[in-house]
Amino acid sequence: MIWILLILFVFTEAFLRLFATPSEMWDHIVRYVLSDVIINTILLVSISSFLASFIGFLAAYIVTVYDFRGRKIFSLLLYLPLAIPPYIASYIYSHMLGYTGIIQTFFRNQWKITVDPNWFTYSAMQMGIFVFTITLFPYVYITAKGYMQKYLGNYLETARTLQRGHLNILLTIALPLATPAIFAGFTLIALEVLSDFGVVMYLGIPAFSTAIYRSWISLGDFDSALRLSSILMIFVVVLLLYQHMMRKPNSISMHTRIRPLKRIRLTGFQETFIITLFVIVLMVSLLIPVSQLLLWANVSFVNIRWNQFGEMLFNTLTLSTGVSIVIVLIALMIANYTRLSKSWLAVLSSKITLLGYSIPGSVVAMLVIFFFITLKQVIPINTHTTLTMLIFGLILRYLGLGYQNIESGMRKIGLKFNEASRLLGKNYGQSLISVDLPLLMPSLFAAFALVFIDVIKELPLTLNLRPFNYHTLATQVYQYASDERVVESAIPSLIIIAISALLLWQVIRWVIKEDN
Amino acid sequence: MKRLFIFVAVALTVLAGCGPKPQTNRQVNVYSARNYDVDKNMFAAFEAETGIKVNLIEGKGDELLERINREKADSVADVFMTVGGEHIYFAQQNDLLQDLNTAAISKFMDENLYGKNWVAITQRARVIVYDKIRITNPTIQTYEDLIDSQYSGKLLVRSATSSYNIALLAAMIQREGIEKATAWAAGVVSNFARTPTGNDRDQSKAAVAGLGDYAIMNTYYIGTMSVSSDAEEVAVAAKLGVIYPKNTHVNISWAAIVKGSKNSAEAQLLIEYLVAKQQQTIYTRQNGEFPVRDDVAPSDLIQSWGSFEAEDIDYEQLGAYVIEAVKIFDQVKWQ
Repeated sequence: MIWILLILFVFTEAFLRLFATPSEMWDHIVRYVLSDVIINTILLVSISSFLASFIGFLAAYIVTVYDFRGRKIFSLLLYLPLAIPPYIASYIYSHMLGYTGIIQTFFRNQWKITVDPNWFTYSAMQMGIFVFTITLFPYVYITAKGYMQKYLGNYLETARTLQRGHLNILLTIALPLATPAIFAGFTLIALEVLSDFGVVMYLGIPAFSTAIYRSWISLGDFDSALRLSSILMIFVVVLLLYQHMMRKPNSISMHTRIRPLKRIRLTGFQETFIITLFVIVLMVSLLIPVSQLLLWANVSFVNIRWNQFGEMLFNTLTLSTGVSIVIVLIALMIANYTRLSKSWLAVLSSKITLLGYSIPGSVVAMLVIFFFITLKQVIPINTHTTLTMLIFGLILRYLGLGYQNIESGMRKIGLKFNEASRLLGKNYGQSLISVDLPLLMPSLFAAFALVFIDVIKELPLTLNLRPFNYHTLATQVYQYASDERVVESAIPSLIIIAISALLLWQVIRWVIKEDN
Repeated sequence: MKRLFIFVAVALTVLAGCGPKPQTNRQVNVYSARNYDVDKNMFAAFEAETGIKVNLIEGKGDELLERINREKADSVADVFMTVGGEHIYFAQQNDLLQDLNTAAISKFMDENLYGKNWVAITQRARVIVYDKIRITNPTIQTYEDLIDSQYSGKLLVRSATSSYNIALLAAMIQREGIEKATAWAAGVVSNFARTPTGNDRDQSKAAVAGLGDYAIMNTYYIGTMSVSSDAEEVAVAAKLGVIYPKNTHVNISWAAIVKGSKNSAEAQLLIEYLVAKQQQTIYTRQNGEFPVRDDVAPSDLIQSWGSFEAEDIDYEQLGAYVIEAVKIFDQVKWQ
């Protein structure tokens, strides 16, 4: 509860602006900027979230319902694109398709053919949608797969007895059943796209995050920036409440007996088709970006500054691990509170935790700085040589992500085990620790992993709130990329991706084992 | 995968090699938006030579300045460094800077490159580039030429969110007034080869690829491209012809002592160190920037582009036109 009050305290500042008299600059923004920003943001968010959800759901459905060669390995690999930060993917693909990129240079240097560069042109919006789709689809893949594995079995048997066709089962049974799970993943994707700054800034897409940044930094109008942020937050709250209502009707199905799912064995053309499909998805989302980074790492190895690299690695690992653990603990407490209290206040306050996830990091950073400047007048704290501000900011930003996961895990378990334990004489707290927690472990680890891979690649907060001489791999990527030295940013990028991928791999294998 | 492990192993070895450093009481706290390896090496050298420890926070210039402004009385920053003269206005308006001793500096620097509380460290020009193999006889001589209708569909330039473009237009407002600057920006938009996307380097690559004929870009990036790890980028840099338009827009990187600095003597020393002859030579040779000293020659690459006449900018006032510039970009739909 205290944490929620803190969050509210920080964000109230933003909301209050909506009711103040608008500045003269606001008229300018409404007249020339706002409509473009709203249209572009809606297009970008809705199309990329939709496409990513489509791929994520379809992939989850196929690995859940069918059996084919390599199914196991595919089902694991499909989590990994999440390890690739969207901004890095946008640099990679823009460069690959560009004049000095591998495709055009290959034709030019190997075959002496100059290809028409117009073949490789794309609009910023297309590239943005592409990048978000390939890097974020695992969010839906994760939620939909977990859900379908548990609940699809019951319906599938019946459907097969009724001789329903493949497409029919997919559209009339799996899709409606998995809708709440898809929407949960969809929401995470939408929030991540809304708060993105790196991709839209690099590609030049007028979006909320860049508009907020510009009003504040370039136009020097902090009021308008907060006003834009609060409009954005209203959208987000509506989206979150809608998601909350979406999942209600299905809560009944959770109490039915879970029947194990029998997979259909694919053969011949069907099998080849599915495997080809997965290979293409994984090539585009994983293999190609990583290979490109490896090539760049190879040529930039001698040209980057290696001093402090060990320190950066150490900072990166300790910060990401520490923050993720704290977030999991706080999220667990909030989820436990909302599970017991069914009031609207509890629902709303739990949704507020997600606010930090949806507004641009640089705005959160400044709100945190204001907060600490105010706080310092009351209690003297050292913010320049300690990590206090940075850790606070990161928790504020990513708490919602951890919470979302833990809360859905708690919902799956329900209160019945806890009640049973209490009937056997233990009190609520004891039951929580001895009965609920072990059941929750997979959700806790998943939450830890998802928060970790977001913190490790996080930029605006780390950049703005870190103490003196504190560098991480992400700030190193920023250093090179902001200097337009994308090739030189390959090695720190690769290390970020490798750490995230290793963690995801371990946690997922472990979670799957636990779930079974 | 094996390679990754090698990287990790190398990193860990570096970590193991980081022993305790010699302790010193003298230090200087730097907020810098110049996030370059060259600067870090220079700070390390300064530390080794003077025994003054340099503590560094890097970030974006305007955000760091905003932070100093919010922290004001409480700020621990001693030196602020950034790219872009347009920030001086904000810093001075908000009374964030402390007077410098410019006696030593003034002897070898142009008058518009320092003020009572700031000093330029390097310079960069915003020029027009083209593929000198494809276009043997470039016809553009001024920024104003760019809006001629014969270049319709031929211009490449990055998004208006770039601070380089904002400073370019702000300087134009300062020199020519709002009306002319608006007409110019609108003219450029109508000659766009494509909707602005990518950074400065991307514009020059697109010019060499033939997606447009002329690209607006910062000289600094030609310099860094020519020493890129990527051989293809080096090849592009070699193909670029550079046009210095009449009244070439030159922007500065600058440094200042933050008001209330508790280590102002050390801060003064660091700033003097950065504009010393040896460091200025390093900046121009290794980082592709123009030196600020009369007695240091620009790098060979820069000299190969010939000489030019820079526009007359009052850097202290440049920032006063930034808001107007951003508004114009919005009005003419230069995204």
